Amino acid sequence: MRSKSILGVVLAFAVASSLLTASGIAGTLGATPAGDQSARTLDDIASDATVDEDSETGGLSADVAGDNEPTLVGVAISGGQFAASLVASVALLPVELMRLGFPFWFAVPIGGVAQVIAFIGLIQFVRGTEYI
Amino acid sequence: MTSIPTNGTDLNDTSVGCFAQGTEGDLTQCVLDGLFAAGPSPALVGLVMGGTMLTSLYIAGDGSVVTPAVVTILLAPVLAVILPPQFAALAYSVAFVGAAAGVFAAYTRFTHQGGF
Repeated sequence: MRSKSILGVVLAFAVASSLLTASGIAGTLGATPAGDQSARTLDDIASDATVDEDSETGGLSADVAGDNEPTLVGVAISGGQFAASLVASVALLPVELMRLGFPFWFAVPIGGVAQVIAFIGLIQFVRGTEYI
Repeated sequence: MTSIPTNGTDLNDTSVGCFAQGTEGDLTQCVLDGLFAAGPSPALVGLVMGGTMLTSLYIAGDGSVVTPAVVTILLAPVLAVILPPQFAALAYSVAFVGAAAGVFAAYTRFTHQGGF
């Protein structure tokens, strides 16, 4: 599962952005951290990661059809949805890079490659196989 | 007293006039102004600088990203003090790259080695 490193890079950017913004260093150095997409997405994903059967936002529940008993398949499907939302955050990598100051002709291709690798990682997670 | 004739041009009107102003001449300010006026934004310079430091120290440290992350984070406050206020975005970019590398190092240790 080498693809998890790509996901890790994106999450690391989001966590670093949250840390720097919350600590106040960004404001001290004159940066404008407002409107940071990846940090907000990370916050949303973390909110969805609660083990709550009543959650309708893709939380980690095992209840598939609503009135069924929690099943192992339900856990797999729910976990797959959660992983998909996690991988979807990789799509924000170009935005994040451009916000940091990189020109678009660098950020977009790098982000595109990261998206492809992260999507392969999602397939690996859902199928339980390992390709790369 | 007459000023030194420089083909009829005053020194303060030339491109090096910035270096001669004031009692000391703000060398750093003059160099940075010229550099950033001709080239990319301070944020991009900071990103390239931080990225180069990370890469070189990553190779020198036998594939560990921890040392470059620490060095980059420590360099950022130093840069923030040295640089003029309008170029503080450079220091922020370096700090951001360092913090991201540090978080990624923790992530890698957890997922690849099973613990911190």
